[in-house]
Amino acid sequence: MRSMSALPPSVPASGPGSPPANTSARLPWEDRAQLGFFEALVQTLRLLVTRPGDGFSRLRPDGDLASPLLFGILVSWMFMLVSQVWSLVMSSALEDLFGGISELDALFQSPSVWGIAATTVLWPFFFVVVAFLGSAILHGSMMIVGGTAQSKAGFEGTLKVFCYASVSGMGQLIPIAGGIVAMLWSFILHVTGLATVHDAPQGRALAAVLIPSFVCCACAMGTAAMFGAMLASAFEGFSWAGGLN
Amino acid sequence: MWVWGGVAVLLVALSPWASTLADHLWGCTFKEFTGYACPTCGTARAAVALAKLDVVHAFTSYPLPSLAWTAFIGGGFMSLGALLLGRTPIAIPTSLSVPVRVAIVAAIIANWVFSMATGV
Repeated sequence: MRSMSALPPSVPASGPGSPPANTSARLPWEDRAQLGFFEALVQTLRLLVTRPGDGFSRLRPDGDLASPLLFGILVSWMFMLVSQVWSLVMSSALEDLFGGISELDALFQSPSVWGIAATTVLWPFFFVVVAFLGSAILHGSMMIVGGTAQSKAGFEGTLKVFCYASVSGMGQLIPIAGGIVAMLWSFILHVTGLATVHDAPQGRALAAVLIPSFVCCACAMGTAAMFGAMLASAFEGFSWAGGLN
Repeated sequence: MWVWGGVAVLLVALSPWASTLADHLWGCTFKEFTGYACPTCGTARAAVALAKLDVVHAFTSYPLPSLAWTAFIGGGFMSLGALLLGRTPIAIPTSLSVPVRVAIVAAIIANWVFSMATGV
């Protein structure tokens, strides 16, 4: 088994408009038969965290979707469990802090054991549905902004980017702010991945990721704005010595 | 595209529980704040109406989301059928011509205007 630090030779990330720099280096996860399951998983996580452009340029050009889906399920499952544990641990502390604000009660409710068990069991199905629907929206958006004109990867390429970008769930390791960190990281990975896989200018990939964020997630952004407003109003009446007034 | 077929089968299999699942969705905050429907308002309700086979209500109240769900589920089943029969599966186009892109954007805007006008 290779050492964890021995990643396959570095490949300069292909820039927009240029062909992939090296087609011989493969993503470690897609080479797991030779590297071993755990080694391939760790190497892929390292690669996507440290050099995402390089990682996405190594995706296999064929239509193999089992590898990315398996990676996405495993990684997102792992980080989803971490986020559930954080919710369990932090909920009582957050309740102490924000307990006086009725609007926030629902947001900081501790997940039930049954809820966690059900989520854990159903997660693979949930991930596959979300990955496919999310990729369909992203790919449609890429087509609308003309980001797939040079693409050889097609819809499968977008689905692969969506699955491998689930590495951003690692942000969930950060307590409280983990969700926001994961969301921003996911955004960056999607832009990098779409530009690399579809050989598109980064501006178009950025537009393709922004359009669904603005159009489809107006509700989510409204929720975020409301949450921010409530937090701001909470801190207006907060003193560090005595908690909420 | 076995994944497309699999997702379509899974969604249809879940359709008897659509109303229960929809009860757990939160309302549209954009609409609560502004009083107007957001561009995707009605997508979940279209799915629930289609799951209950209330096709007329789905298409008259939420036309574009209903069309999108129907195309998505139908495409998934056609893709699965093609694979099972050993035929060439549906190919998703790599790129779209400018008129088609403009038409899609216009359809989304028109649907949004319709949603705001009808108070969806």
